[in-house]
Amino acid sequence: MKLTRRQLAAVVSAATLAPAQIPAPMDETQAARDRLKANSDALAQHDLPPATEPAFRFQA
Amino acid sequence: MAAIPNDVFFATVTELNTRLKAKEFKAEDLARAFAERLAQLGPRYNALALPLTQEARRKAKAVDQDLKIDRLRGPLQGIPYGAKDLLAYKGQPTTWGAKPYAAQVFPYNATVIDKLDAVGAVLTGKLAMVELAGGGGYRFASASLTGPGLNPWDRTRWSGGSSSGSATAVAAGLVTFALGSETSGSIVTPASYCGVTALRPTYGLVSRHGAMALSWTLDKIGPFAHTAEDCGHVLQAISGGDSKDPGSAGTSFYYAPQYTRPLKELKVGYAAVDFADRAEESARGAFRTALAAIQETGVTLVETKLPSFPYGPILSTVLAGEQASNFEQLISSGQVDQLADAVQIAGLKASLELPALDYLKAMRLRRLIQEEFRKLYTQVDVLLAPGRPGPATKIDEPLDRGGFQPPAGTPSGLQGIIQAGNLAGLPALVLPCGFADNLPVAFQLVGAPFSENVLLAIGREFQAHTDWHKKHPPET
Repeated sequence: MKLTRRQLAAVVSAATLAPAQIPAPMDETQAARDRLKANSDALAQHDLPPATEPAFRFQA
Repeated sequence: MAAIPNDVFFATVTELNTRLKAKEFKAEDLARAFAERLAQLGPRYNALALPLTQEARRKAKAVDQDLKIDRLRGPLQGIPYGAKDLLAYKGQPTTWGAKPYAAQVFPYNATVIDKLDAVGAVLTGKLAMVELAGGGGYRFASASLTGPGLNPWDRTRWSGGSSSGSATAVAAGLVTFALGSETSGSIVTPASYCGVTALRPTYGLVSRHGAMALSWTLDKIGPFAHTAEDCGHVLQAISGGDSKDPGSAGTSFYYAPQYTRPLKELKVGYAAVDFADRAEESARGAFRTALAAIQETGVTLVETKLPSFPYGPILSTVLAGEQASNFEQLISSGQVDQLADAVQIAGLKASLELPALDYLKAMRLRRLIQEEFRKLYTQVDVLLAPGRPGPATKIDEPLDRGGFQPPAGTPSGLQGIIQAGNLAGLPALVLPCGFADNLPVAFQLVGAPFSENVLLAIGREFQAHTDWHKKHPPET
């Protein structure tokens, strides 16, 4: 199989990143903000019936 | 001072109380032996926050006076215990495991400390914890004023958190029982990693007055011990209504597992995949054996699924909103930068920016979760899942990278049961159930609100058939 230089560069760059899996965030606070946003996005995907009030008792 | 036999250090509450009443040794001698052991071995595991040797001896002397005249106060009379350092103990430092609070002293006791005092239990020390119970998240086990919680089974492994010292102290025989707390996993995780029995009570059953508030709607206080029965005795002593805790359910608990339905009538919901592909390979053999053992108690296992919700994001959002309010001053003043873990600092800072709409949406979803769990508990009596998918993580392993991940496409099983159980305020009993790589593993039984006696009945029968809860670390 012949690899182009561009394909080779992509393979090498992926291999370099592989051990870290998740790159260490440069700015921890920004990373924390991003987690809050990701949580918000996950919540937004869940439909809520309009009459649903917040929980005020915390046992099922 | 009379010699205290070495077998007391791993004896149960019931065994010790029987021996105290039989005058085999004095409560004062027992307290001194335990307090010295805690002071000597606690630092070896970074488990000790504050020794209370003199206070313990004073209390134990009073217990001896009571025993002398047969003034009996129940099974915890004269029993040495430790308390997580987020519980106020009058006149002594209560650090919450965090540098900014290292000199904090309260002029009163937490309600649970007073309740245990009233039944004659002897507090021998405050136990280490992850700083601020880890609410902002944390990357390393070292996120604590006392250093990383070292697992007594292998000090290159983590003890789990945030009730690190509570689980360690029981596992290493430094106390007979301990109090810890859980907002999301802080009892279940360290109990699983250290191989001890522990109980997360129903929300509101145990007063949090005098405990650090991380999340008003999620925080719970519960016991770590050697057996399910011991957990039942401690829960009976610490439960009950308390006007000083706005979240109190106003309900007491009486340990009476003999009056629950026969175990052969109970349906236990589980997902086989949790004990196979969703478990770490090293733990699968132990989980298989434990599943067979739990069936020997007479219960019927039935495959089940959790209601579908994004439990992790919902819990994180509720927690972020409430911790931001609780620690607003710490964060705004900049003192938050004194904490040990960069992720914890960042998580707390970012939580100040949580939109109110997100918090309310999470609380509305929580209402739906509660409704769905009510329905689920009409089909099964109890849920069963691994406490953690495998044994304790290595001490220097980053904790915020998601841990063990099963192959893509693996069914979800009861994934998220820790977050779901906490959002719905459900009780959970952790039972050691074997070993993987010479480290303990455990499973958790999760019941409907106020069904602690059902969980304890299963736990007691399980422990009558097995001996994993009797194993203790070789170095101790």
